[in-house]
Amino acid sequence: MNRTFKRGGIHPPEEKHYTREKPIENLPLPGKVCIPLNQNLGAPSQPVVEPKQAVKTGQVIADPAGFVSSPVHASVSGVVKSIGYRRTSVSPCSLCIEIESDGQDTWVDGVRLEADAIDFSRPETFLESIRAAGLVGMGGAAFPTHVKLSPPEEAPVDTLIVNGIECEPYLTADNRLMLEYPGKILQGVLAMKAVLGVGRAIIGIEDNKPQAIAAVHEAVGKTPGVEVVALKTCYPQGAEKQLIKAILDREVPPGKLPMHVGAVVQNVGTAFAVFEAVARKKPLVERVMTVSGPSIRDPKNLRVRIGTPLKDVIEFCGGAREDLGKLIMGGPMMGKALRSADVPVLKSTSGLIFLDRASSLSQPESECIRCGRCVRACPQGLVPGEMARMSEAGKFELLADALDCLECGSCQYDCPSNRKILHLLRLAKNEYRELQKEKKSA
Amino acid sequence: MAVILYSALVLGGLGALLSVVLLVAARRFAVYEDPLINAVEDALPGANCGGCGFAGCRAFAESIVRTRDADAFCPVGGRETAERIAGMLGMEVSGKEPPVAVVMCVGSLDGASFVGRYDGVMDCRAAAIIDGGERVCPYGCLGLGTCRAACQYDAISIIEGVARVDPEKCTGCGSCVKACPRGIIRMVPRGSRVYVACSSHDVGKLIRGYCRFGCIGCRLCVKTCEHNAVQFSDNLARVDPDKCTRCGQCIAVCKPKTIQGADLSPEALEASKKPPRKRKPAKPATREANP
Amino acid sequence: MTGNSGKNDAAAGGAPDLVLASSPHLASSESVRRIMHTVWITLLPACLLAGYVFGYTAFLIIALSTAACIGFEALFLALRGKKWLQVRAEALDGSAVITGVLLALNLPVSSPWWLVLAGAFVAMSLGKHLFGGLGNNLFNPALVARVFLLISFPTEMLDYSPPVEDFSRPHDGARVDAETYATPLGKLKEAARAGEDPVKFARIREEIRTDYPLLDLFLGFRPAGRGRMGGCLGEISGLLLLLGAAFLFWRRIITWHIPLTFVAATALVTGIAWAADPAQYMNPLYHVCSGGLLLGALYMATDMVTSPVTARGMLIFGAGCGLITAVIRLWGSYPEGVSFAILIMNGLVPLIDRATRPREFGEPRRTRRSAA
Repeated sequence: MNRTFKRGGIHPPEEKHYTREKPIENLPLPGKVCIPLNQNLGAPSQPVVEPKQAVKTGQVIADPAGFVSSPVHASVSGVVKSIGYRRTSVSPCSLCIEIESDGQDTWVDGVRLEADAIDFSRPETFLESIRAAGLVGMGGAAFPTHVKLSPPEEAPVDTLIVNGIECEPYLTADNRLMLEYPGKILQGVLAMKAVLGVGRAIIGIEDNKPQAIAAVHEAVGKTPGVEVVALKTCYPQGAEKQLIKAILDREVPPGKLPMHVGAVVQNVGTAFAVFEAVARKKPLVERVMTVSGPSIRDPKNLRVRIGTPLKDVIEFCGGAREDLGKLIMGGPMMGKALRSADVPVLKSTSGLIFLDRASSLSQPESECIRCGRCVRACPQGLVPGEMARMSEAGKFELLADALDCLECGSCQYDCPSNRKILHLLRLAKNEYRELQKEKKSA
Repeated sequence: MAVILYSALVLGGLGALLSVVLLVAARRFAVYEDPLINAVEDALPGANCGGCGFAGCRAFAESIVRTRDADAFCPVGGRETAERIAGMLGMEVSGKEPPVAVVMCVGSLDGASFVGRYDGVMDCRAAAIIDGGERVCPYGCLGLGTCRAACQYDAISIIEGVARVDPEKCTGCGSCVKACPRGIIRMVPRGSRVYVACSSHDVGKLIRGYCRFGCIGCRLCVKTCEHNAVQFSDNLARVDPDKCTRCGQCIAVCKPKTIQGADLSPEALEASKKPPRKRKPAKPATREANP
Repeated sequence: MTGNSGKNDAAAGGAPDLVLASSPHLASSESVRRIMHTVWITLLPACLLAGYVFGYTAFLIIALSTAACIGFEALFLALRGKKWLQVRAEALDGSAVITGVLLALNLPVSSPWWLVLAGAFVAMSLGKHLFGGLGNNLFNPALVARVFLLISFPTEMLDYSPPVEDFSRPHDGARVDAETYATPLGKLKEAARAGEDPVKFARIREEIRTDYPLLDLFLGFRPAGRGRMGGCLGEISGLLLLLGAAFLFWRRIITWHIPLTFVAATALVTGIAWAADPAQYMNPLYHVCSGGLLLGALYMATDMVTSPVTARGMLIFGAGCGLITAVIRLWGSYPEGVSFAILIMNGLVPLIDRATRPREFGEPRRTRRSAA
């Protein structure tokens, strides 16, 4: 019986058959890219190039603003076309650097694209390589990796957990990464392990990916201090806190972070990016994403340059069908519904899901019948239905608990009354934070 | 007979005893309160609506007496009540009219762009978290009626996708200002409602793509105004109500009809309909705005 | 706000009108309608048996009750200001049907039509819409109606006419002597009252044993000529109720928490009494199989709107219902305690929900955070 986080969770249909068997393809170089400077959690980066300036692939185009921030690099070589505010999926008003590609893809000096192995003789240089490469969490949260790998002294860490769960329906990018590059992922894991100085790294994979488990297992072999653990397929197994509970049986207290229970969690995609950053000195300029769903003609797993317009991606996948109802950036449970494809691919874009009209519109809503399904589904032990009712009534000052919500969506998924529970909880979170801000400034 | 006598004596005696106890307690444990507070509270309408910003008429009365603020305004009682209370305090009302709320957006369905189909909670704050409903303009009115629900006086309605305040019903309490997640409702002086009804900080080129009423940044209003009442910053024009004389010139030159005006004097109204006076062409702007 | 003038065709691949919503973008196909309709359909076997045992009048009562409940529901929805389309959708969502069927199963076959209507009216008004309609009522509407009728019209409600020999003939509505055709529980109460006189007590006990063999009580089928048990329409067969409930368990519409603790608590208390004084008290199995206990435990107490939301809360709720039922049956004036027990516990549900909030993830086991 594989481990799991015990309380809560749901079992949405996996829908991974669309792209599970498709190897990662490279999207042809886009004609131009639009790179937002506020892709990561933390302060937005500051541009260091000007319009009409020529840039090479991998060149720094924006500097971090503070410790919790990341440098941004050009993802194609060419000329900076403009620096201005554009609508992206992060916000309607993001500062973006547009680069027109010259089609050559000339890399900056110092990048060794063919390097195959990390030199483990100087682990003290790894952190700086990771920071300089602009790495952020590839699982979707986009937290600067070098910050996560530098926990403060007050929070000693003993385990690195590598998240190969990919519990969201439709997404298979991490699965393919593990199948195609298990060795490089392992090197990335070992590099992160060295940076953190921990004795144990555990790679967790959901048991609906038996081939990936086998591949990683084989790559790990007898490497000391690295284990592969299969976990029960249950959403949201890949949520940080739940994953730590399943693997280490430790619960992160409300308001605290994983490092407070001695663990650091990183996505397998991030581990791969770490390998590239340390072995090849390659900055983060591309990522693997899953393009899937019933309303895209040719679902694929694609390697895409950051800043590529979604339109290019969609065209390469045969275009959307007429019955397209919803376009989701990310996974279908926690991703963002887009209003148009005029936005670029970000460092955190794990997928692009095309839902058909029939599944896009919600069913008519009715009153909460106190059935308790949401309570049973919530992995955090909250009472979502009650909180949603309070949010509807505007009683935000009583909803401090909403801050502990993971926004996983398990509550809304199962609700027979089709109530928009998660939307109400997100509203409550927002309003509560506003109230707190007001109180502080009062 | 005896029964009646005894009953009367006992009950009467009990009543008398309890009265004495209450009297003593009332004297002994009395809390001194300025009698003025009661007088002021009586003068207030007693609706306990919260429009003044306090938790009920009693709280408001206490605040007025404590701060001796004759200008504290009760939206329900109006000017009459304010004058009576000021009289009790031995002061005069300064004559300031309560402000009125205006919505700084006129992007109605017939002129602004909308895409998609919103399928979320019908509340503007909820729509704002997912990047704002169907309106393309990232600053404009979301039209789901959170301000309308917040208004206790029924002064707001959603017309053609934009919220509008009825100045007759508006009491200036400010609840709608707090409710709007985009912060586009503002208070302006009641007698002087000339305002730029747009909140978008995008450049004119972008705005023209999604709203034909938006402020395009031509700055004609700034140049036309002889009283220095129109400022332009961050791609948006703003009227300063303290300097505005309601002459209506800016309204006349505003091509997209973004500047709204009411309370114009009859002469100004006439003048605003005429074409503006000829002015020297301005030098082109030297600092390139964001492309 | 779906005006389309000025729409930009800015969506992917030329497709218009992308749906903008918060995550999650997937939903299971569970719905209130499906749940409600499933519940009353599982009651059909018990309804059919009621017709077999009591004659087709039983079907008339069930039909009248259901129609009246739907009708009054529509009336109150309209009075609350809803538009016709919504009234129609909500009145037919199945919740009124359940109330109608359960109410009918709580009535004796000799109920006059006005009793049924009065019950339906009270169920929908006092029991449901006065509180705000579906999901907001504190008490189980069918039970509110039943208790109202019990207290207001005791003669009609406690008149348990006998089963018919030939179910194709209507019930002749004959009122009968309580002594001869009482329910098992009625008999038990009678026995308790006769406690002073050991001879009479023993005789009544013997009658109970011969007239109401345990198996018959459970199955509900009446071999011709044996025993004459009366009762409400739904109190006849535990077996059919269990079969229907089994389907609900399988579909995860109800869980084991409430029915199990309810029955267990009743059995426990009556069992202790029986163990203490077997001469005075009946075997707990009789208590489980007779009266509305199984109907109450499986269908009335498990009503999701009026029962707790957490598992721990459900256990407390079920146990409380069972305890109060047993106490009323053993020592109260009424022979049946299920309705009162459930209503009392319904009233405590908000408190139970507050007291049994789940432990939040990451909170130490001992402390309970302050309830919002």
